[in-house]
Amino acid sequence: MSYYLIGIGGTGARCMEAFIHLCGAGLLKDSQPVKMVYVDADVSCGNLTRTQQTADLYEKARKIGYGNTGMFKNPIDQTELWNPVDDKCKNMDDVFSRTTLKNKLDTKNLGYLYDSLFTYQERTTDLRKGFRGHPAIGSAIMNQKMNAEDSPWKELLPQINSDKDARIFLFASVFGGTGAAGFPTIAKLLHEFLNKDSDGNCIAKIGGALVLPYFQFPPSDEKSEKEMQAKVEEFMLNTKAALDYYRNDESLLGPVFNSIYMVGDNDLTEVKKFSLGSTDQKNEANIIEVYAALAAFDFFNKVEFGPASTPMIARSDEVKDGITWNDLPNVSTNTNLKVSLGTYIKFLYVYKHGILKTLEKCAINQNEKKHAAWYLDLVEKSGKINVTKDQLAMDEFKSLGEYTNVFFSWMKDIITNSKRKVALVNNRVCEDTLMDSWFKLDVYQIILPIIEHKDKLDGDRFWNKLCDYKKTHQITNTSGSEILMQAIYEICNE
Amino acid sequence: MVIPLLPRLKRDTNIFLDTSGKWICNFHTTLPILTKLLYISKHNNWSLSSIPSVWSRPLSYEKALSNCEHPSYVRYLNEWRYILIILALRVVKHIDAIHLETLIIPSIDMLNSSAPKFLDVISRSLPKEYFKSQKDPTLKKDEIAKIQIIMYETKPLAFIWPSILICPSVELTNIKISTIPAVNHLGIQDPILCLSDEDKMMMSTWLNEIIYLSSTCLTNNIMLMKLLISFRDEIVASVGSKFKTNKNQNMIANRNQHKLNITGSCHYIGYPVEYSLDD
Repeated sequence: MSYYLIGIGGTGARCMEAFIHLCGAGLLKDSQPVKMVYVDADVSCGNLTRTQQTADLYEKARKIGYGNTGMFKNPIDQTELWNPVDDKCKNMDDVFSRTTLKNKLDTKNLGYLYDSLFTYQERTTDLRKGFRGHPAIGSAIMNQKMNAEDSPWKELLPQINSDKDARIFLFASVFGGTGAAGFPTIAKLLHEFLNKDSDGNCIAKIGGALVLPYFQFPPSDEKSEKEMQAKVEEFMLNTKAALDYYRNDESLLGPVFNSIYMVGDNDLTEVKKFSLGSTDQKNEANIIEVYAALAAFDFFNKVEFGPASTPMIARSDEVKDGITWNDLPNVSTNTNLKVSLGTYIKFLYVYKHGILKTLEKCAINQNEKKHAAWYLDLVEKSGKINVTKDQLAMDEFKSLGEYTNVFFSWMKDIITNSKRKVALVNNRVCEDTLMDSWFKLDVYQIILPIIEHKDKLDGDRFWNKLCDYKKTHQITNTSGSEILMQAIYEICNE
Repeated sequence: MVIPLLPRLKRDTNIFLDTSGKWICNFHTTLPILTKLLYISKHNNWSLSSIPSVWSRPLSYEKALSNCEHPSYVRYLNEWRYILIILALRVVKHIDAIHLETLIIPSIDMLNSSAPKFLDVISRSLPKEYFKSQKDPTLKKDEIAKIQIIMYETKPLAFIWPSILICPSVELTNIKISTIPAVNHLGIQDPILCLSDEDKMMMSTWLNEIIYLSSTCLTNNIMLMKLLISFRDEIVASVGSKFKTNKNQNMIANRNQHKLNITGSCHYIGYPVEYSLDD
């Protein structure tokens, strides 16, 4: 069995990014691979490239063994991006060959209809920055390009059909152009080409998260003002129009989707900078994307499926305008999200601000090793890795370090970039420190709300616990880096 | 207190989420209920490209014209009425450049790889609502629809859309028809205002016939009947006590000289008023 994730448009990519970060915590019920498909006309969209880079770093970080901690257990396989706009075409008129339509006698009436439906601006706007909040354009373009014989669909659809327990999940926003148009278009493709049961419903389990408005951006600058663009004041109307359209489409919920999760926010987060698209469009991550990602985990981990549904979620007002761990859904019956994700965050923090620094020092200077008993014990002696000599192993350790950098940068956005007070982790874990020394923060104070412990677990104490690890824990079935990683994880989980 | 993680909803509505931090599926968490409860400000602009379909434009007109609370109701209504006035009065107002072009949409199976991509897209995505209201006996086997476009010179003015009779084309303001001066820099203004009393009486009589024919040809289309009746009533009201009922009620039927060859459920809107009341 595999998990298939399809992220449509900029918000789709950001939900994928959230999924990757949460996946590292081992939230899926097994270790099956996750295949990711991106759908976007804006191939250089900052959100998309950031997600692709995150997935690359995740895969590099996976090369280290993590023992039975469950962290990074699922491989993430990124397939080719599906761009609905041909490279040779700049705008809608190019895609539909308007000049030819209008000049040929047998197609000129088709040209008239085309001109009746789309304005000059819609027809001639450069689509290489996406569909600019115009789902009708997105739908027209995607419908003409969608072909099961093209990559990545020609590889993906047979794979899904041969996978008896395949689970597919789509992320799309409904208030912009690409997501709102892509969601039903891809659903139709799945419905047409996937194996169906006797009732005509897809055998593969298909879910989706429709992300409703949750952010807004400042007015465009003078230069962009005249260009066609997504407009905040159209977000709610686009949403209503799209949902109404999906509601009337009886082939979506039931025949294709088992569940369509809905999430948004009534207090829109202000994106700092207006962007028409491309590399500039790199929005800060947002807690709503975490909810969308958690919807995917919920769907993937389901044991049984009831009738087709559209789950929604609420937060409590326990912290005014805030979100606490109690507001996040558990993603399976045998996992506690706060424990799994909390331990993972503590692990990454300790690794970034402690372990990696020591490993780097040991790799450069042999003399450092004698000061680091845990290194000699867990890495060289038990793991049989000598970081001074084994460049490959050291590169893998560094890769996890790079991953922790993107993780905490993302986490910083999550807890700061929202009108909501996101009370999940201590802000200090996201601070970048240039200090050479081990961390000072008490690990028990990383996860909120802070629970009083009679002892602290600061850097010094953590170091000592790591040095004593072999004396207090039995090391079984682990080798290489797994021993160190498991030791850090277990101490974080105490 | 529990607050849904959803965009702003209409005041005093309850989406019935009683616990926080759990995905909830119940009788109330459905697409139709959520769609109904979303709060839309009257000041919001409505884009004609909001619906994720190539047919977004006619679908948007259907939505807006059926709801007088819709943010763009007045704008769309003015455009829709403007086109009907042009169709009705084109002979008496000497709008000679009006003509009809017809586009046959074959079923998707009949399209080969060299068929225009746009034809392929419109063929595969014609909304089911279209088929519910369109009955065109002239369609041949393997043809699923016939879209008829009302042209002014070489520019499309509108196309036939059975549920609302016509769907105005984009950029109508680029087409200037001097005898019906409803266009200004703000768009199409209330076209009733640019009609003389005589025009209004002709229009009212024409609408009476359209209302009658619509009730026989487009059964159960209450929305369209309401639109046509309110159009006629507003015209009558704007004339006031000077309004004369035209004794010759049958102004459009059985005259072929200037008819546009519209086929299907809306064929009768192809017949214009052919004389003035003084004739």
